[in-house]
Amino acid sequence: MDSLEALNPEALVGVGLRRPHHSFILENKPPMGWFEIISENYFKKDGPSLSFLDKICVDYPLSFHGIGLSLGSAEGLDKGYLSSLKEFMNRFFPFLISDHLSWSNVQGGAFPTLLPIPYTDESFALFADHIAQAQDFLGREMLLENPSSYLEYKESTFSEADFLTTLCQKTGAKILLDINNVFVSASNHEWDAKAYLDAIPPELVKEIHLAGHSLRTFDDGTALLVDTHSSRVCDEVWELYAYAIARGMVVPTLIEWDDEIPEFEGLAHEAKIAQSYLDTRQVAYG
Amino acid sequence: MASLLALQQAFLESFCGESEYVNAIEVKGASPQNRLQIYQKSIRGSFVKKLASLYPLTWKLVGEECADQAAHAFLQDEILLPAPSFDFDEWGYSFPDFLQHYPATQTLPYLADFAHLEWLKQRAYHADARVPLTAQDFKEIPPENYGKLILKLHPSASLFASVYPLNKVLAVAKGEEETVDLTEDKVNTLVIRPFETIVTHYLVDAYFSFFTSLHKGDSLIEALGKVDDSDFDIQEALAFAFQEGLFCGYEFAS
Repeated sequence: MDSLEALNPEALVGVGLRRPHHSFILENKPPMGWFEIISENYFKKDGPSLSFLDKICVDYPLSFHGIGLSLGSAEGLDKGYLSSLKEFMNRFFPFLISDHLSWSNVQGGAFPTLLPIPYTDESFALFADHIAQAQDFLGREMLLENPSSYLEYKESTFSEADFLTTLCQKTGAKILLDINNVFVSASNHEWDAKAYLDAIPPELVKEIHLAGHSLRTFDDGTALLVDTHSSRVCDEVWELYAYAIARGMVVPTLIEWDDEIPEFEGLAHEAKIAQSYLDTRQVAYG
Repeated sequence: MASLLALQQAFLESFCGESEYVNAIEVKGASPQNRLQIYQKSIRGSFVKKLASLYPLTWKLVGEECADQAAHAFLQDEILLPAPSFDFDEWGYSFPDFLQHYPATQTLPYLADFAHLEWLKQRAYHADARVPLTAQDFKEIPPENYGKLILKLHPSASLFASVYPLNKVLAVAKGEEETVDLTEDKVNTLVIRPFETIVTHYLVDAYFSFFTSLHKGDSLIEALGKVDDSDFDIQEALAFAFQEGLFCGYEFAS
């Protein structure tokens, strides 16, 4: 634990740890600030993937990123998930634990995607309660990621940025700011992406995500951006990242790539670009 | 929409037809239906990809287009959600049964069994890790206790018999053979992951009967009694089992 705390990768860039890269990483130990895993991919597993994680955590700090806690589920939190997460946390000592401002569980099952919630008083009370439960159970702070979304609800009364900020201020949770998600949602809902970043207090942001997205065009000629994590980070998202850094959001940054995954070098190349943004800021203000 | 709970249940219902969910969506730019469709397609696409990852050689054998169509048909009638935490351990296990009756693949009668064999490999991959018993461990059991000895199979072990030559089908899927002769012998398979690698063994009938009996919890003596082969050599069978890491413990019948 002591050695990992010493490795706490403040202002370093990491990448999402995905199965196609496992062997390469073990054999080559490439330079990388840290790796982020999808927590539930390893729950209830005792196979080669977990054995790999035992080896990888010796050389790299890990963060745990969940997509299955379903903090916004009206049916309550899945206690089994929290128990698995805690057990897992006590084995690998992640330096960050995060999940999303979304829901996925209903009627005893889970949708394999992050579904949006209406930003209402009811949702706020539910999230505040669930985040408090989760943080109390885990005994540590959680990070909450802004989702990419393709729809808004008529009944929403908060903006997303206000909802997220107020929620974190109330619960003590922090923000995992996904810049690509800000860009995707802003495009899909005609928001101002920079105004979104302006509404987020920099001191609440403890991690940043960067990723690629795709354009989906419909038969009626309308189109939406989709958060596919299947390509390089686009210029507009790099620009927003620079804007966030200039606002003081100099925090561990992750490159996510989950579909059409390139060779590890391709991922490392994106990480180097992100690191250059962080390094420039540190030189200028360090 | 009356409440968050009603909204979330309405989203689930939207997969099966009419739902109030679409009425809750803000109308601006792209239509609510198109916006909802992004989520629905993403979910179905995730499930198809998950099936493709669970059954990679089945996908290779029949081709991606045909396999994707089968997967969409499998998911069509009702949305099959994995358990919370995206626990896919059991999700997708019934896909081989579906293939058995799927019209487009009826010309491949072995496909369901082949897919089932792939499922067993997935199961082996995620099974609990246990250190296998060695021949030396066995030698330390007092011989007077052999009569009530029950050998425990490794958690990753599965035994499966097919009337089709799945080993030859596998060779076709891997591109090592071009055709398969269905009149060739049936196969008895043992799938196991004693350490980090999944291994598929093709067993003779006597070994298959013997190990299947042990897998059901029969004692060593009971399992031996179920082997209908006068040439069966229990010492050779046990040597094979220890070499391949088939056992992970033992107990004595009361």
